[in-house]
Amino acid sequence: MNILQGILWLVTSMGVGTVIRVEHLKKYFPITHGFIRKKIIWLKAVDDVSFEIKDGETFGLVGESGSGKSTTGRTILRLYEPTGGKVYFNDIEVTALSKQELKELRPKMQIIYQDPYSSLNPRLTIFDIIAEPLREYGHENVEDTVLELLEAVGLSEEHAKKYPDEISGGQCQRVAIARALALNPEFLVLDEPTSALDVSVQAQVLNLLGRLQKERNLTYLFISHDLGVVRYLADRVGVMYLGKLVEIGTIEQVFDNPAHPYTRMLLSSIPVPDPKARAIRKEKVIGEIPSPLHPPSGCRFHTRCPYAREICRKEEPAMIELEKGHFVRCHFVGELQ
Amino acid sequence: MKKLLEIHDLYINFKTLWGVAKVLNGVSFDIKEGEIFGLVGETGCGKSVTALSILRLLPPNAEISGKILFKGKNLLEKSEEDMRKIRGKEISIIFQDPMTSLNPLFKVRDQMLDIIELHEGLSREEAEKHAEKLLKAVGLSDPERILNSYPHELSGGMRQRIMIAMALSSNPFLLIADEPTTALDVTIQKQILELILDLRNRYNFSVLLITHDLGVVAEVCDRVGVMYAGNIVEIAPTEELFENPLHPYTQGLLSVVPDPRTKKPLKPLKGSVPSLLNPPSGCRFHPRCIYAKDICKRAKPELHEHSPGHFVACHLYGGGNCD
Amino acid sequence: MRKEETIKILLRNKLSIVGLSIIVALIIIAILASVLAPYPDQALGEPNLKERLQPPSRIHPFGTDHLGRDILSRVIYGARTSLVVGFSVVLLALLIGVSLGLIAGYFGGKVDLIIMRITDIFLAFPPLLLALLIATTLGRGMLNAILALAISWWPWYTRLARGMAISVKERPYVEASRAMGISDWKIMIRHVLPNSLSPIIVQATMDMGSAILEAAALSFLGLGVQPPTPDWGLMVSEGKNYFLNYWWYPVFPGLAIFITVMAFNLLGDAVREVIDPRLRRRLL
Repeated sequence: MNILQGILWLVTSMGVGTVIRVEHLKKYFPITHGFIRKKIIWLKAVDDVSFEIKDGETFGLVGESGSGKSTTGRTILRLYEPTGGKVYFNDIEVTALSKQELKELRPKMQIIYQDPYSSLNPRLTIFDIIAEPLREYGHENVEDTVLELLEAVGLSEEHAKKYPDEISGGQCQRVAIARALALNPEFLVLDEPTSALDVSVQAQVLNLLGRLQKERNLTYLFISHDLGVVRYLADRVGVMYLGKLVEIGTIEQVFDNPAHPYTRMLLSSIPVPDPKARAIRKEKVIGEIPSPLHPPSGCRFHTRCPYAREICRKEEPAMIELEKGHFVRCHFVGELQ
Repeated sequence: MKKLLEIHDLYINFKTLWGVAKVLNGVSFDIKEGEIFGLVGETGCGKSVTALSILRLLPPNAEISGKILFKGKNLLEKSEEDMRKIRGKEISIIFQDPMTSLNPLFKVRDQMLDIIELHEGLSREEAEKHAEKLLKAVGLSDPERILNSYPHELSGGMRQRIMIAMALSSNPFLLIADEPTTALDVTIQKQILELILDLRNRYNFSVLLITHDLGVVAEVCDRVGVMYAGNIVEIAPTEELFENPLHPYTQGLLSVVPDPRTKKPLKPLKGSVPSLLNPPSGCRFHPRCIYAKDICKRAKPELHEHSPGHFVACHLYGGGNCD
Repeated sequence: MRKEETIKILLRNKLSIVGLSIIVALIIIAILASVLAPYPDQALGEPNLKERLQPPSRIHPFGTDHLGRDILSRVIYGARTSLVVGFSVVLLALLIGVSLGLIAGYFGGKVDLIIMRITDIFLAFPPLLLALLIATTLGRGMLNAILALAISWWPWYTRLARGMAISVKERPYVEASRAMGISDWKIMIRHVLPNSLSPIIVQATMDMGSAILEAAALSFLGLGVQPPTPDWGLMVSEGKNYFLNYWWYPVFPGLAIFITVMAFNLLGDAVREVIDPRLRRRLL
């Protein structure tokens, strides 16, 4: 018996190699109603979500508006305080940290936003924007580091003196990436990082993100409504609907072999850049997304599901492992295959 | 098929504080009766300006030259009075965000009936019946409830359906749809696109669909014009364009659209869209073009028919006024 | 927005140029008062009883007052008083108002509640009445008048600053800073404050005129600047008794107040056009 092998097994089974572990995460927002008699309704933006992201992996989180995908990303970083559940970063329980401990961990986990202009302070120069986190943590050689970062994201020294509104949207997004990388993070939440960009620029930024991931061994949570982009960048993907994860799997499992009726509807709705494969003639879309304030009972998708039966209205389905790593939340997984 | 709309050599400049922006640089295309014509391009390529110029809704600092023939008559020579009769009656437009096109203070009923009464000269009751019919036609099964709602009580998809119903209330010849699904979720986008297709098939109006999304173009358009920095660089039937793109910009655009069906590498175009205050000389695409030659910097390539129905403006394919 | 653009837009609006020139002229006059005034001694209060209540003439273009002092000289020196009072009142009110507003808006919760309730109490009084009350309590004099006006003024800036802070703190760059672990105070000073300032500056520019006017009102009522200090409000107050027979006495200082207030309002309008993107687009 090789002792080394034993230790290795022990270490891997303890969960090393997993950068982010989300367990039963919940985020409810109170919504007050009425003028005189105030009633509070809870908007369950994220409702019992669990998944893991492995070291160096890109985990895509897809869904439509109101699905809670962005809220999930922010709650993981504790930009929103979770209502329930736990988040682990490299076995550190993020959700249990004090304010000071959290500040020490912050450099390791960063976020990139959708709108490149509004994620940069318009009154600061590009240099000052990227230098801010470096100064906050008392870095030496701030100037050299900023220039290095600019180069790493494909910008040059001449951009440093400019203000955000003097450069293009794509360049702004590169600055935001440089700022996020300043503190050498291990984990990045990418919240629709290319949705506000033109397609030709989107491709540049996507390739940049891919390159940086390899160079710096980054782990990504990639949030997007654009399934084409997710397919391009992600290794595994989770599909969200009204605050719930309904399907998790590798890109191939989910995109080539979608098991949940919602995933199928979503996939067949995407306009494909190929006139011969017009999706219009394929699966029908039923109804609209219900208000997340009043989600349907049972399976939240039953109001739009072509296969819905009595049980779907009453009981919430559990996550079932269809094959290794492919999880689905549906009562009739087997039958739909 | 007869041509409903013909645009010839449209130039539009905007006078701004920072100089003159040359927003359209000689745009020509036509839309046939009953056709869905897509105008696709990135931010600032001039696609929305083209749409607004057809309705003569440009801001006062715009200078416009060229011809816009609608049913053979030049819209640029019409009086403001005549244009008012054409807008909303013969040519209708719907926008990206239906919330901003509906007044939040009034019920859908008031807004719909006002439009219908204005254009059709119907009485209140007749207008109401017409409104209900229209709402049913756009797939809203409970018109009574919709009419009694305020815009904020309805979803984005429903609001866009109402906008479409209002746009179609007077049986227009041409519907201009400016990014009609950009603000909507994909499943709702699919419904709206299906609706536009379905209504076109039933009422046989023409559609000018403006979009940045090549996927949307592929789904619904019969023919497509690709715009770049104020020029139309290529026009072709949809299948032909996707199968056999000629212009280097079209080729580049097609190679950067991520496809949800497979993971193919994206080959991004270098650089970014130029400023229209100081656009590149000659072919405006030349600084980003991998095939750029000397002539591309000097002469603007003219749009010419490369093969039947397939037009391209590029020196690589000769033709035009290459000197 | 770049500085050159700002200047360009400011210069496009002819009225704003008028306003700006008047204010620049006033500042120059205030600085060079001792050089420009024909009778500096009289301006500072020296009586000249031989020439009481002379009508405008070549020697005394604005006439003389009841103590025979040259009104032109006193109006020139009065610019000093007015500008000092106006600037100090607005600056002081900004300092108090903006800090409290930022804190209330950024932190929210109980802090917000307490600050805003106090603000509401102040706002419940008509500002001039409140200033009068405070000035009466504190006693006469220029410094007390400035304090009284600033105290009655800050709540307006608190409201404005709080509203701005609430909207700015939702911007992604503020959240990004939080995600980087930047402290709240630094975020407030570096991100929220600079991006909240525009409408506050507009308001402050317009308020300069009103502050000068209210300071004049206090002086008029005998609660502000005390004689013999040259002050427009005070001069109008003293001159009102002579108005019927000696019109020039109150009219010239009154005109000075009118022109100054108007100039600040014109400038304020122009500054708003520069800052408000909707109005800016209209100018294109």
